[in-house]
Amino acid sequence: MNDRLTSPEQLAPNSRPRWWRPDDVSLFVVLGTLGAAASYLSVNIPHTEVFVEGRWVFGFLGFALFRHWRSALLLACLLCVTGPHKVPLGIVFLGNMSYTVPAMIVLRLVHNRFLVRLPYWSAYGAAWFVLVLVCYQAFHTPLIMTIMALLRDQPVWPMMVSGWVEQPFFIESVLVGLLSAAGLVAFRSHDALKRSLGQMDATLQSIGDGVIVTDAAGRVSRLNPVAEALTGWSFSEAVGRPLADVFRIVNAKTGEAVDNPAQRVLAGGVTVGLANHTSLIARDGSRRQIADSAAPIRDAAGRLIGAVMVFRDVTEAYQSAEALAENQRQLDLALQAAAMGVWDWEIDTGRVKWAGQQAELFGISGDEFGGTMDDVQARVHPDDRDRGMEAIQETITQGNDFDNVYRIIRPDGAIRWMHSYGRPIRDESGRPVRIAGTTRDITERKRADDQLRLQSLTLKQIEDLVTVTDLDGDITYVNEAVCRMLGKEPEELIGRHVSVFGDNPDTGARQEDIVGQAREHGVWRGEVTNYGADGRPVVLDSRVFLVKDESGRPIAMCGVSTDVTHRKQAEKALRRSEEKFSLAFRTSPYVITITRAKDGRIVDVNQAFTTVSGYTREEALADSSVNLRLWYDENDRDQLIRDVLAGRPAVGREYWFRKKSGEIMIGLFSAHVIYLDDEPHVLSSINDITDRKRAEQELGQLNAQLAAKNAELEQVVYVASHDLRSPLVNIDGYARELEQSIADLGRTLAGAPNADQIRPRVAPYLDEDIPEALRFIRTSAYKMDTLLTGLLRLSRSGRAALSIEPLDMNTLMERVVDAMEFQIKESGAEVILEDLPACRGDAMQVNQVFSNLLNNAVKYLDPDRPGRIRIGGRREEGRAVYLIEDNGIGVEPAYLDKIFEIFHRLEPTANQGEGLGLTIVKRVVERLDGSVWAESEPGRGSRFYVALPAAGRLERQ
Amino acid sequence: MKGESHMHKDVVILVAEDDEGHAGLIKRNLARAGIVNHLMVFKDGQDILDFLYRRGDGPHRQSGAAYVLLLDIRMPKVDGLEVLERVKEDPELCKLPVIMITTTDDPREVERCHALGCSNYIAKPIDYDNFVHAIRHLGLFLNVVQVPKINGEQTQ
Repeated sequence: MNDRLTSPEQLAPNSRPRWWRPDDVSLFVVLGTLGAAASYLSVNIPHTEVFVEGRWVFGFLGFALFRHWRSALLLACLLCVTGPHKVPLGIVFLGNMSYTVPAMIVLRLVHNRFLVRLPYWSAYGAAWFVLVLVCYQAFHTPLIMTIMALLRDQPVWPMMVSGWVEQPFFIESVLVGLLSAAGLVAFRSHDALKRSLGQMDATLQSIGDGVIVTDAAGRVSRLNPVAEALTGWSFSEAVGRPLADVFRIVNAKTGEAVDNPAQRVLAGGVTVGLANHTSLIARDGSRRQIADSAAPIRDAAGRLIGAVMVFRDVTEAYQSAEALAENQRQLDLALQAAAMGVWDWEIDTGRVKWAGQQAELFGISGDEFGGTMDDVQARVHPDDRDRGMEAIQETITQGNDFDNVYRIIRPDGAIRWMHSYGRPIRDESGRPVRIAGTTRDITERKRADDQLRLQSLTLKQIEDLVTVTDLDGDITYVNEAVCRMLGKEPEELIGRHVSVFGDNPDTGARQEDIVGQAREHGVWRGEVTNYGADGRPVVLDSRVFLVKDESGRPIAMCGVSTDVTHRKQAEKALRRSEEKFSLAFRTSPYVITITRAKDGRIVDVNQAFTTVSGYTREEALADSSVNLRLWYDENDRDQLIRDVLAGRPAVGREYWFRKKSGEIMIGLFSAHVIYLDDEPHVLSSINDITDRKRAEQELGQLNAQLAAKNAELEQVVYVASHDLRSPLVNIDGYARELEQSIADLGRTLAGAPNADQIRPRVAPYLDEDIPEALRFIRTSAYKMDTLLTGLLRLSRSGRAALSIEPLDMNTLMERVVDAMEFQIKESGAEVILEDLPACRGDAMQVNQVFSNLLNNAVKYLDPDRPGRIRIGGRREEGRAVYLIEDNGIGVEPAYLDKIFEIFHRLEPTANQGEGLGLTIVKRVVERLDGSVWAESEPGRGSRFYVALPAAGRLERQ
Repeated sequence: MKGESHMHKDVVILVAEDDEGHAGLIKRNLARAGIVNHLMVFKDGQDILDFLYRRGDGPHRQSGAAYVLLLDIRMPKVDGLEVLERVKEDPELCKLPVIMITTTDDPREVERCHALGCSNYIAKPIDYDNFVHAIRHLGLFLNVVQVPKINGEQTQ
């Protein structure tokens, strides 16, 4: 407000000093001119009173000249040069100047230095008087006297001295001093008043506020242009009118008339401010919002002589202030309603300003807040502090919005969730200097969100099928379980009618009916069969109910279904299993009993029990196993009960039981503990293995006998083959001895004297019969030995211990071929050895097998064509099958089966051998879990196959 | 052939063989091979053990004499294997070279004899020629081995 009153721009144009102000100086000029005229006249009339008066006039003129020295000097010069009595006038002028000028100089110095604060009118005038008196005495009279003496050619000094001593103008000097002092004071005060009034006028004219001045009676005396504009009254019209006519004010709100401030000032004599909300009604009736104040005007004596009232138009300011206040109020209301806080953080100083509900959010009053970021941090939950600072740093460094959700701890310990959002505010250089934003308490929302989220998730993940429809049965929600079952997306179902779930073909329950019933009765419950995504029926236990709002009005329908397919299946399976068990129990060929563990009381037995034991069912159920003495050895039962009760089921034990007939039954026994009415019972299953045991025993004996027989036989074969050879050694040995003896005898006879006579007679014996007999003896012995050797090998082949291992047949076969190299060369045959698969067997035995076969192949080659023997092999179905193929004489199909028989040889005389080779081969191969067979075509050749277990692992190596 | 014999004449050849024919053949053929040492035949295992352990009524072995034992495996009463075992068990008799002469060529039997400590093993072939050959080999063998004396110094 004040700035408008004191604005230098507004005051400047009127404050410019004026060079010439006629109303001030004209008075002095007139007075000075008159004085000059009077003194001119008085010169012409010497020693008249006028001359004296003229000097007074110079006193006044001196002031005028001093104040306006340029115009005064001009006037003095004019007077000096133009008057007829130039010299006397000049002398008078100088005489007057002689006291006026020093007095002026001294007063000015003294005033400026000492008299500034003195009461203006009295001290200034008194000082002037004294000064003029002194200067007049000191300079005026001596100077005048001196000049007079010079002019009259009189001695100067005596005149000067008489001037000092006589003081001829003392009375004059006193009068001049008094008059000039009075004139000075009057001049000064008038001058000051005029100046001040002039300034005030200018101020009033130029001021931006309306100013009305009244006299003591409250009538308008002054009115500046602004006031004219505001009131609508011109100065000329308003002057002299009562203030209330010109300055009509009312309360802006109520419209009631308000006391005029000027009147209050006049009545109370104190400065008053204007009441707020004051409206000024202008002359044309328009209203303006004004602000005003009034002050009393007093004269020098302190008497109340009027009042001044200053006012200005605040309509716009008032309106904007009102609007601002309204805005602020609305903002406050909004912040309050939104429970929102406002904050402003100065980054450099760290000062934080809070507004709105910020402090309330933190559970404190505004005064308690320390105004620093540290204080804010101290109230944040420790776990969230770092994150908050990171977000702030990010806002500062990257300039993005500050957005943070965090917890605070209120002084009462309550933890609340807050959401603060802010933006950086930058200075001219773009550097963020502040961050300002808002804070909201989102605890409730968060809680509700969490709750909602939890509910949603629960609903989503629940195993049950949940469907919500409107009252018409149009689907509004399905959970995941529904979608999963139907293999559809929620979008495919929402908005469709529930009949998309399909109607139940078994019960005929239609979805439409279910919806209708639920709507009518509030609830429907039943079993529904749907078809799942895979087309399989899904049995659902469903509840459909009406969802009602708080007032009990139905708003939706909800169906909750549980998949009971498995339960149904399980029930069915259980029923079936019970039936099965029951049937199994009744018809089992095994004896099954259920007895009470503690005393052996028989609870149930099956048909087999009655058949085997000889007791009827009734007899059994009326008694206990102990009483019936079913157990041959009671200790067995005790042990069994202990075991099964300790959780060790008995499986496959052998116990002896006693039948009704007293006969012993050996049972293969299994038992478990079962609980009937919380009482441990033993479920026993007994397989009557009496006959089997007996058979087993017999078989065992038989086997033992057989083994003994076998061993005996082996021994017999062994011994026989061994012992039978001893005589052969003699037979052959001595036959040989005999041959030698016959030879000796022959030679002796040849040398005898009568050899010619004897020789012809003994010649048939010596040369033919005896050698022939010996030859037969030796051949037979040799043949016998061959057979025995074969038998021995056969018996050995059955006894040799096998060491089964993976065999690299390529290596083995090479060895076999190498060993027979001589024979092969001799026969001229070609042996082709192909790559062979590995097998499992005993290296020595397998070697023997293939040696025999190769030997056979070489032996039975056709002498008419070059021999060709191929050894090959392949894998098939876990076996390694080897082939030895020759192009020999072959075997008649009729004999093929016989070649593996003992002592069979195709052409006994054609080839040497004991005839046991293939028999041994067959026996060995069979011992090795393999098989051997042959294919042949007489005259083309034979193929012998040997199959042995394959060795997979070796092949991989 | 006689000139081939180098075996010390004092070494006595003991033949334990139940078959007299075999013994005869051995004897004849050793003689043909030039072995002229004294040769004693025992008809079974018991007899030879009696001789070696100086028991019974029959002849007893002499201390300080050198012997070579030709032993058949299959014999009545005590068989050759047992004789071999008993001989090799005895701290003194174990020095006695034992040559098994038997009709069997069962490898396990051969192995067993060697395990028990026989010096050599000869199978009796039915083929007379082979037999002769084998015995002659034996003769050669006997000619070159050093036969230790039993209960005495070693012979040269």
